[in-house]
Amino acid sequence: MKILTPLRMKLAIVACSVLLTGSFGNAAETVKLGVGLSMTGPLAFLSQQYLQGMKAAVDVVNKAGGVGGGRMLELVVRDHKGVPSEAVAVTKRLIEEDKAAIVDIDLPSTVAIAAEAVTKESKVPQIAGFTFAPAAVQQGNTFFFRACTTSDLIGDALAQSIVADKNNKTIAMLAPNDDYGRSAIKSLSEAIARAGGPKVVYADYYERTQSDFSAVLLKMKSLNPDSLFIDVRWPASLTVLKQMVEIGLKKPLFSSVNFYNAKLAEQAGPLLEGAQMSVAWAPVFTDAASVEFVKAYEAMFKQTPDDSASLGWTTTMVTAQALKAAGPGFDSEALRKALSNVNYNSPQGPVKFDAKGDASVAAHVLRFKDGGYHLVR
Amino acid sequence: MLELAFQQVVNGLLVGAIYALMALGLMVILGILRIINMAQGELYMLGGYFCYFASVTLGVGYVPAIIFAMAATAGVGVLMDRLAVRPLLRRPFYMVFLSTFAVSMILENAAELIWGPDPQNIPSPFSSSPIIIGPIFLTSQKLFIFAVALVTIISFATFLRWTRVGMAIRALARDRDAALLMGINADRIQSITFGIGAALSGAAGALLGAMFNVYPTMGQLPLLKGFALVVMGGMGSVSGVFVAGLMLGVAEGLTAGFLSIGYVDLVAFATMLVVLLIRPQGLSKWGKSGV
Amino acid sequence: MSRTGTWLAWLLALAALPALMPNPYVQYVVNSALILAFATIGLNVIFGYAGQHAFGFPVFFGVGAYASALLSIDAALPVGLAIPAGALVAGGISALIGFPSFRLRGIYFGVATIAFSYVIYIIAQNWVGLTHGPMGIPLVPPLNLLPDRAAFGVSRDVQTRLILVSTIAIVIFMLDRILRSPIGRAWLAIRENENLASSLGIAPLRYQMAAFVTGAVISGLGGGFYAHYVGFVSPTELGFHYIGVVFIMLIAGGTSTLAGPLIGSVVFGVLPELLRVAEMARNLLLGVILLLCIVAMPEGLAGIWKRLQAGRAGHGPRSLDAPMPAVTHMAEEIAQIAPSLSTSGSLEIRDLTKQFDGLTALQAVSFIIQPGEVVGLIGPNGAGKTTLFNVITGVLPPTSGSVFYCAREIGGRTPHAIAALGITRTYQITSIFPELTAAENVMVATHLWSCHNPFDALLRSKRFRTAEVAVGRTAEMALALVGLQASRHIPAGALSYGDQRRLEVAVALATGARFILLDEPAAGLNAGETEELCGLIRRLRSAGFTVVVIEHDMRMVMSLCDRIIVINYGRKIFDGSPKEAAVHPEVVDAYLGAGTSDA
Repeated sequence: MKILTPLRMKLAIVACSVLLTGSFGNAAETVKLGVGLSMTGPLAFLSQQYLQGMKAAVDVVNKAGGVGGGRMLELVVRDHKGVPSEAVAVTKRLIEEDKAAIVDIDLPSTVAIAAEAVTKESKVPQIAGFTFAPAAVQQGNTFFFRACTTSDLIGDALAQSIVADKNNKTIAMLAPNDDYGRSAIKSLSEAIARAGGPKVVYADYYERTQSDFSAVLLKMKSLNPDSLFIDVRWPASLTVLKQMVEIGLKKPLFSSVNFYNAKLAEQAGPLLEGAQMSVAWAPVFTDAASVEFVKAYEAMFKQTPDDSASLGWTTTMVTAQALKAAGPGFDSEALRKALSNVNYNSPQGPVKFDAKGDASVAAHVLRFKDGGYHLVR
Repeated sequence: MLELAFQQVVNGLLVGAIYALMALGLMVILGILRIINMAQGELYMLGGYFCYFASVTLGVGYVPAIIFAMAATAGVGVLMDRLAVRPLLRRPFYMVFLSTFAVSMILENAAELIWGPDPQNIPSPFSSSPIIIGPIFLTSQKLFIFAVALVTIISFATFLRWTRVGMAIRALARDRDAALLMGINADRIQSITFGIGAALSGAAGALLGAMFNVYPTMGQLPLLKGFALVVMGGMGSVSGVFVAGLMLGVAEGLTAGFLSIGYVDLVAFATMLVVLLIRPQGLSKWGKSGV
Repeated sequence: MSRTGTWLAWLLALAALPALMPNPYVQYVVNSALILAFATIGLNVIFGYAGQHAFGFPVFFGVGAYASALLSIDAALPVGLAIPAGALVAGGISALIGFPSFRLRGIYFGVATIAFSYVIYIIAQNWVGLTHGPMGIPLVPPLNLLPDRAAFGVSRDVQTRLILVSTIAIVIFMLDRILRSPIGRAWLAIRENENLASSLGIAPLRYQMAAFVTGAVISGLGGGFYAHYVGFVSPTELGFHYIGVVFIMLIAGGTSTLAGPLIGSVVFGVLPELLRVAEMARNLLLGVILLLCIVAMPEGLAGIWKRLQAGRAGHGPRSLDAPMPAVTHMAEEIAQIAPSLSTSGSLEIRDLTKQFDGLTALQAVSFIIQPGEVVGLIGPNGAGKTTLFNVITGVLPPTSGSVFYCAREIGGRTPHAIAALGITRTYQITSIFPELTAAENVMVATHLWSCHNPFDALLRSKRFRTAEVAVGRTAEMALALVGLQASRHIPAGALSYGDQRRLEVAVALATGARFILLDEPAAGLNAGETEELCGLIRRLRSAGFTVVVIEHDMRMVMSLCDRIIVINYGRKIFDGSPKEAAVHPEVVDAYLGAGTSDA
C-alpha cells in the first residue's frame, strides 16, 4: 500500500522544515529557566523530585511578584535521558528555540559537563543544582555555576562519622558504576585516609541494570569488615537491605542520600536502624530557609519534600535572585555577573559562588534512629 | 571461602532458572519461527508489569497475579505477531528484526507512560527471614520462585513433546512446507507459538520482578543474555537451554563474589564467545547453520 | 540528470540549506545526523553489501570517538590527524573482532558481534585509567577548519558541516569506485551465495574481513568527528542506544544503495528532535513511524527516491553496470571468452575415501582424467558422484587418499584455491546469485583474472580499466554463447529454470577455467535444450577444455563422452569406453538394467 506517495512525501518535508525552524516560545512577559533532566532512565525518580522542588520555588517566586519588572519565571523542561549527546541537543534547543535565559542541565554530572561545552561557546549562564562531580567547575567555563555540594564535601562530612567510632578498623564499599558512584567512593576513601580512619578492604561498583546483590553482599560478609558504605539507589537499596538480612549480614551502615527515602524507611525501617548517611538536606532541618521550603512544597504537592526536591528549590531561588539583581533588559553578561554576586540562604546552607563558580555548600549527616531521621552534623 | 562459593552457587541456581525461562521464550520464537524477536525483552518486562498491575492495582494474590501476567503477555505476543510479524513474512529476515525492534521501542515507551519510569515493587507474601540449611542461607520466596520456574519449564517441555499442538509446532519448525501439506494451519500455530514464547518470558519477568522490582528498561539485558543462552544451550533443546541458564546464573554469582559485581553482565557474553570459538556450530547438534 | 549530477546537487543542498537557517540548534541536529551517517554508511558496507549480519557493528563508531579523543588529549595529536588515526584504530580493533567472529555461521555471527560490542562497553566502563570510565572524557578539543580569526565569521557549525559533507562525499566516491570493481562484486557475491562465490575463486574470509574493516574505519571516522564536535565522549557512545539508532537509519534508509544510509541518517537523525513536541512519547512515536516505514517501504527511503524518479525498475544494485561493448560476431573460439587461468593438466584421483560419521560415501576410488577428454560420471542416485565433485573442488576434505591436478596435491584445499588452479563446476541444484542480474552473475565469475587490487580500483588505473573492459567483453560473449544476451539486465532469480541453467554454464566459462565439472546439467531440460547442451560440450572439447559430466540421461552420455566412469555405493566399478560400459555386467546390473541400447 502506498502510504508515502510523492506528494505526501513533499508535504512531509515541508512540514518538517517548518516544525524545525519554527519558534515555540511565547513572547509574553516571562523569563525562562531551561531545564534538562533524565525524565526517563534510572535517574528519573531523582529528576522528578528535583523538578517538583523547582516548581514549588517558581510558584513562590511568581506569587511574590516574579523576578522584577513584572516578569514571571517559567520553567521549560526537556528530557535528555542521561545521554550526553542528547543533553547537548537539549541545551541547544533550550537556548535557541525555547529562548531560555539560563539553563540547568542535571542528572547525571556527565550531562552537565557535556552541556558546558555549549554554554561556554554560546555564553549562556548555566547553573547546576545536582552536579556533585568535582570536575564540573574545572572546565574553564565562566558561565557555569554550581549551587550545590560536591562529592568531596559529602565525603568529608561522612568521614567524620566513620572515624568517630574507634572500633571501626575496616570498611567495605559499594556504589553505582557511574560518575556519581566512582566519585563518591573516591572522595570518601580520600577523606577517610586524611582523617586516619579505617582501611577500605573492598570497593565495588554495580551496573545500573543489576538487581541481585546477594553475591557481592556475600563477598563482603566473608571479608568481615567492621562497617559498610552502601551507596545504592532506590529501589535496589530496598533489595540490598533485605538481602543483607537474608544472608545474615549485619554491620554499622553508612550511605548517602540514597538511604534517605520515605519509601525505604516505610518498608525497611528496622533494617535501617543506626545507619548514618550524608545528605545535602533533610526535612529535619529547622532553619528558616528549610521551614519556608517545606511549607511551600507541602502546600503544592501534599507530601514532604526530600533532598532532591530541596536542591531543585535552591537552584530556582538562586536563579530568581540573580534575575532580580540583573534587572529587566539584561544580557548574558549581566546575568552572569549577577549570579557571581549571589548570596542566598538556602535550606542546604549559604550559597555564594567562589571565583570558579563553585558554591561548595557543605554536606550534612543524618542518622536513622527509632524510626526517624535525625541530624548529626 | 568454600562456604562462600557454595552459597554463591546455590544463589546462582535460583537466578539461573529464571534466566532459562526467559531464554526459552526466546528460543521458542527463534528456533521454531526463525524470527529474531528483539521485543522479547519487553515481553519479559511486560510480564513483570502485568504481575505488578494484578497484585497492586487489582489486588489479587501472588500466584494468580503470575498466571494473569503470563496470560496477558501471551495476548500481547499474539497481537505482535499479527501486526508486526505476519505482514513481513515474505521479506528478508532482517525486516522482521527491525520491526520487532520498533515494537520493543513502542512497548518500552508505553510502559513508561502508563506506569512511570521509576522501578516498582511487587509486594510479596514471603518473609525475609532466612531458612538456614547448614552454611547456606535461603529464603522461602527464592525456593518458591525456583519451584515455579521449574514447573513451568517442565510443563512446557511436556507440552511440546506429548501434545498434538506441541507436535504441530515442532513439525512447523522442521519443515514449514511439509507441515502445511500435512494440513497444519501454519498461521494459527504461529500465533500460538508466539503466544507461548511471550508467556514464558513474561513468566520470567513476573517471577524476577516479584523478587526484585520492575522498570521499563529491565528487558534489555535479559534479551541479550537470552540469546547467549540459546546459542550455548542449543536451538531447540529445552534441557540444553535450562542447563545453560543454570550455569550462567552460577557463573554470574561466582563472578560477582570473586571478581567484581561490575563484570557480572559480561559473563554471559564472554562465556558465549568462548563456547562459540571452541565450537563454532554451537553446542547442540541442531545448531549447524543457525537461522 | 546524470547520476553524478544528482549526487552533486543533493550534497550541495545538504551543505548549503541549513546555513540559511542559522539557528545553532538546527545546525547541531543536522550535523549530528551527518556524523551518524558515517556509522550508517560503514554498517551498510558489511551489512548491506557484504551481507554479513553484524548486529553489534555500530560499536566502532564509539571506538573511533574514544580513540580520536584520547589521541588528541593524551598523545597531543592535532585534531586533524587524530580523527583519521582514531578511524584506523577502530579498523584495527575490528580486525581483531572480525577474525574470530567470521568462523561462526548464521545468527551466531551476529550474536557474537553483539557480545564483542558489549565487552568493549564494559572495558570502557571499568578501565578507568585509560578511558576515564563512566565519567567520560570532557573537553575534547574541537575541530576547526580555519582558526577563529580567519574564519570570516563563518560559524563553527557551518565549518563542521562543510567538512562533514565533503568527507562524506569523498567516502561515497571511494566506495562507489570500490563497489564498481571486482571487490564490490565479490562482496555482493558473498552476500548472495557464499558457496558459489567461493567456488568461483573468491576467498570469503578475505573479503568479509575487508568489508568489516572498511566499514569499521568509516564508522570510526564518524566517531572521531563526533568526539571533536560534541566535545564529550562517554561509554554511552559504545552502548546499545547507538546500535539501535544506526540500524534504524540504515534499514529505513535502504540497504545496498549508496544513498540509502545518507538519506536514512538525515531523516531519522532529525526526526527524533522533531518529535520533541511530544517529549515523553518520543520513542513510541518513533517506533510507530519506523513500523509503518518497514511495512510500507520495503526498499527503504532510497527505494522511494528511486520510484520518484521515472523509469527505474528498482531491482538490485545498479552500481555494477560496466559498459557492455557491442559484440559484432559470435566468439568463434570458446577459448576466447575468458583468458585461461592456468595450463591444462590431468586430474588424478588416487585411493580416495570419504566417510561421514560411519557412512562411507567414497571407497578407494582411483582414476585419471586426461586434458581434453569428456568423461561421463554415472551411477545410481546416492552413489557418491556429487560427493566426488565436492572433494575435487575442495568443498569437502578427503578422509584419506589424494587428489592431484597437474601433479600437485589439491586434496583438502579451499574451494577458492582450487578454483584458482583452473577447475570450476556447476551444481546439481541451480546455484546462482539471485539478486544480481545475469550480466553481473557472469562478471563475478571473472574474479580470478580480473584486476582486484583496491588501489587500482580507486585510482581507475590503466590496468584496471583494461581489465574491466575485458570483463565486460567476457560477460557479453558468455551470455551470447548461451543465448541470454537479451536477459542481461534481468535478476538471475527471475529467470526461468532453463535460462538459469544456461546462466550457470556462462558463469563457469567466464572463470577462465579449462577443467569443467558439470553436475547433472541436463536435469529438467527438454530434448531440444539437451541437444543444445551437447553441442556446447562438443565445442568445449574442440576448444581443448576438459569436461567431466555427471548425468542420468544415458543417450546423452553415450553419444557425448569419450570415456565413462561408473560409481556404485562409493566404489568405482567401471572405467572405459561407452560401448564397453553398455555391456559390462556389473554396470548393467547396478544401473543400466537389461535391454538398454544406446541411441
